[in-house]
Amino acid sequence: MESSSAQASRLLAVAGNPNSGKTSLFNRLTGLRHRVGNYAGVTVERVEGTMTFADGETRRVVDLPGCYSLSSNAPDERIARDALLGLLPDTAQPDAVLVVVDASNLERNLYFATQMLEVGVPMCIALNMIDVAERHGHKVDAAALEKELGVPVVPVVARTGQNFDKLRESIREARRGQRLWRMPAEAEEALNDLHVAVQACGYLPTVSEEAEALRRLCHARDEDPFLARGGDELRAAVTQARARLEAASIDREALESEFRYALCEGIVERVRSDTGEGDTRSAAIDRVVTHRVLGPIIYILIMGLIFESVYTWAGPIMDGIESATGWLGEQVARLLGPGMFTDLMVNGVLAGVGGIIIFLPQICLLFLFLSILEDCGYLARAAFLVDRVMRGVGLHGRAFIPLMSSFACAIPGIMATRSMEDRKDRLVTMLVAPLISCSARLPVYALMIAAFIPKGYQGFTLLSMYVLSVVAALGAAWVLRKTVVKGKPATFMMELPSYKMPAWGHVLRTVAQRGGVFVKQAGTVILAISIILWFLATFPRSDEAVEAEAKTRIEQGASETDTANWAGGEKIRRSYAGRLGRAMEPVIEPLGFDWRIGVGLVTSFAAREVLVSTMGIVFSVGDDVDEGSVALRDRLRDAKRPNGTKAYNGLVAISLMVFFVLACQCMSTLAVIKRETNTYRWPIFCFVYMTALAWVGSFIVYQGGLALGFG
Amino acid sequence: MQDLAAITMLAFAVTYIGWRYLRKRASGNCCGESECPAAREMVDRIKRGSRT
Amino acid sequence: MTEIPLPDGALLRERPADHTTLADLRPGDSAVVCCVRQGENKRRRLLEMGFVSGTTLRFVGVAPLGDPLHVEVRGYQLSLRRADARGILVRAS
Repeated sequence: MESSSAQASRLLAVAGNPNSGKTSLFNRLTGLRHRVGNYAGVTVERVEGTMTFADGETRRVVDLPGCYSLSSNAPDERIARDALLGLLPDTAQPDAVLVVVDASNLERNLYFATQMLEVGVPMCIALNMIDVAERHGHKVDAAALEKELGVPVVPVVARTGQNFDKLRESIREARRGQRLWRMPAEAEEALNDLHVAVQACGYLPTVSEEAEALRRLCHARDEDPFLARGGDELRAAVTQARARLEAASIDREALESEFRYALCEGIVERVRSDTGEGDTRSAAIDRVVTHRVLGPIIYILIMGLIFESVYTWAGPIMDGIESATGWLGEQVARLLGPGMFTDLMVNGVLAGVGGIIIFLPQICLLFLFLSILEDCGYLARAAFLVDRVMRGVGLHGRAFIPLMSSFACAIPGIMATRSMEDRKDRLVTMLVAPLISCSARLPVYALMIAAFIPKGYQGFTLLSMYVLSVVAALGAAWVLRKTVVKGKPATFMMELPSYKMPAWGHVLRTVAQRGGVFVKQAGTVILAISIILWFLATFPRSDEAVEAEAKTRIEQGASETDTANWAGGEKIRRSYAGRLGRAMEPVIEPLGFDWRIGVGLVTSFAAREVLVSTMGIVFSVGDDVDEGSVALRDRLRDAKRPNGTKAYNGLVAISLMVFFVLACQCMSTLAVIKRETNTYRWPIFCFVYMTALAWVGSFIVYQGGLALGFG
Repeated sequence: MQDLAAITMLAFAVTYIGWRYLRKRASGNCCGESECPAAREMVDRIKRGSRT
Repeated sequence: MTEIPLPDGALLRERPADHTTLADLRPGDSAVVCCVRQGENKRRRLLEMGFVSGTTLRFVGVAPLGDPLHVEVRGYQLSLRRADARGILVRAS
C-alpha cells in the first residue's frame, strides 16, 4: 500500500494513554509544525505533522486520540482503533506506530501497549516520564522491558526532550509485536475458530486479524459494524465461539482484562525496581485539596487570589498604557492640526482601539494563572469537586471540558460536545455553554469595575461575575433538564494526574498566543469597527444647531462648563448612532441604561468587547481634541444625564455586567449551534431565553438595588 | 484634504469588514482565520486532559 | 477460571453478604477486588482501568458532597462515581 513516491508519504501514528505525555512528545517530534483538522465525517480532531530524522528524511506523523484500551467503544478511542487498523476513509494503516508509555503508571499503560503489540503494526515504545517515575521511587529498566516486549523501548522525558535523538533512530527500527499470553485451551480453540472466520471475511489487515478476533470474542455487540460487515456467517462464528467459552465456565467479558493485567503485573515486577525514596507529595497534597471541607475553601481562596492579583498587578501597567495613548493623541492632534481626519484619528481610532488595548495586561495575567493551574494538575481536582454538582443539575461528566473551554470562547466548547454520546446531554451542554463568561466579556467587566467599583472590592467583583456565570449555567441546565430537554445523568470516571511543576515554556507560549490574538483583533476588526462607529457618531453633523441652543442656554443662566458638556453629548445624540441609542432607550431604561449604553449594546453584537471601544468613542466625540486626555473611566463617572444628574453609578455598572453575563450577543455562537444541531430551532431558542434572562436579571439587579437604596 | 483622508479610511474600514465577513463564511471560523486558535487550544486540552 | 458475572441477583460463588463494595470503604482503607457487577460497558471499562479480581486498591477520599470517590489503584489516582463504585465488590486485604 506504500506508494513509490517520496518517503514523506510514510505514516507514523502516535498512540498512548491520555495523560501519558503523548501530546508533548508529538509536539517535540514534529516541532509544532502541525495542522488540526477533523477525521473525515467524524467529529474528533485529527492532528498531523511532519518529523525529520537525523539524516534529513521526513515522515508524516499523526497524533491519535488518547486511548485506555483498544476494546473501548468511546467515540475517540474507536477512532484510534479504526485508524490503526486502516479502516478510516482517509487514513491508510500506518507504517509504524510509536506507543507512548507513562513510566510512572506502568501497569495500566502496558495494558494498552500489549494490545498494540497484537495489532501487528511495526512498533516502537517511548518510555516517557521516567523522571516522574524516579520521583515516585521507581526505576524502570528499559532494556529489560525491550526484552520482555520484543520491540524497541526508548526512555525519554518529552517535556525536556531528553534522549530524543535515540528515539528518532529507534522509530526506524520499529518491529512487529505478538501476543505474549496464553489462555486456557478451550479459550484458545474458540479464538482460533473465530480467527478463521475473520480471515474469511478478509476486510481487516492480515496482521491484525487475530487481535480483532479476540476483541470481538470478548466484547462485540450486535450493533457493531464489524458484525454487520461480516454478515451472518461471522455472527454465527462469534456465537459459537462464545458458547464454547461459556461451556468452559469462562467469563468472556473479563477474559481479556484478567489475563492482560496478569501479564502486565508480571512484566512490571521484572523490569521495575523500587529505590525506596518514594515521593508521596502528590498524595499529601491531594489529601488537603480534595478534603471535604478544606477542598472547596482552598478552591475559593485560590480563585480569589488570582482575580485580586490580576487587578493589583495589572493596575500600574494599565495606567502606563493610558498615559501613552493620551500622549499619542496629543501629538497627533498637534501634528495634523484640526480637521475631520484628526478627529477620526484621536476620537475614533485612538479612543476605540486604545480603550481596548488597555486591558491586555489583565487578560494576559488571568490566563497566565489559569494556565499554570491547569498545567500543574489542580484543575482536574476542581473537576472532581464540581462533578457532583454538575450531575445534580443534569450535566454529564464529560461536559466539564466543553464548559471549561467556554471560559475562553464558547465556540470550541460547543464543538467539544461532540465527544458526548447522548444527544440530550450534548444539547443541554450546548445551550448552556454561552452563559459561561467568555474572554470577550472580560474587557467589559474590567472597564465597569475600574470605573465604578472601589479599590478593595475590584477583584472580588470580577470573581463574582465569573461565579454568577457558572451559577447561571448550572441553573439553566437544571431548568432545561426539567422542561425542554428532559433526561437523566450518565457514567463518568476521571483520572487525576499527579501534580507537577507547570511547563513554563508551554504556559508562556499560551499566554503569548492569547495576547497576540487579542492585539491582532484589536488592530484589525476593532480598528475597522471603531472607524465606522466614529462616522456614525459624528454624522449627521448638528454643530450649528447645538451651538445655537448652547448660546440660548447660557443666556438663560446655565453655567459654561455644564453647557459645554451638554453640547458635546447632544451632538452625538443627534447622530445616527445616537438616534439608534435613543430608539432603544425605553426598553433599557428600567435596567438603568441610557442611550449611550444602548449604542454600545447594539455594537456589542459584532463582538462583546466592542462595547468598550464604543464607550471610548461615544465619550470622546464631541470633545475638543486638544482638551488633554481624560481616562474613559473618569468620563464614565462624570457622565451626566440631560437633566444634569450623574448618568451612571456602581449599581448601573453591576446591572450592565449582569446583562453581559447572561446575554447572548455572539452571532457566531448561534451559527455554530445551528450547525451542530442541524436546525434553526435551538439557536433561536438559545437567543430568546438568554436575552430574556439578561433583561430580567438586569432588571432585578437595578430595580432591586434602587429599592434597597443603592441608587 | 483632511476630509478626503477621513472618507478614505472609512472606505477601507467598510471594505475590510466586508472582506472579513466573507472570509468568515468561507472558512466557518468566527474570526475568519483558517484555524480557530481557541479550538486548537481546546484540542490540546482534551489530549492532555483526563477523561474516560 | 473466574466466576461468571451475574445480572440481577443470581448466585455468586462467594455469597454477597460476605462482601463490601468500594462505596462502603472509609478513607485510608485498602481492599482487594473480588469482582465487578455492572452493565456490560461499564464493567468492561472498570476492568480495563484495572479493577480486575485480586487487584489491591486504596480508598483515598470523597468529594465534599459524598460523590465522587477518589481511589488509588495500580499506582494511579482515579475519580469514580459512587453508583459505579457500588458495583465493585471487595474484601479487606
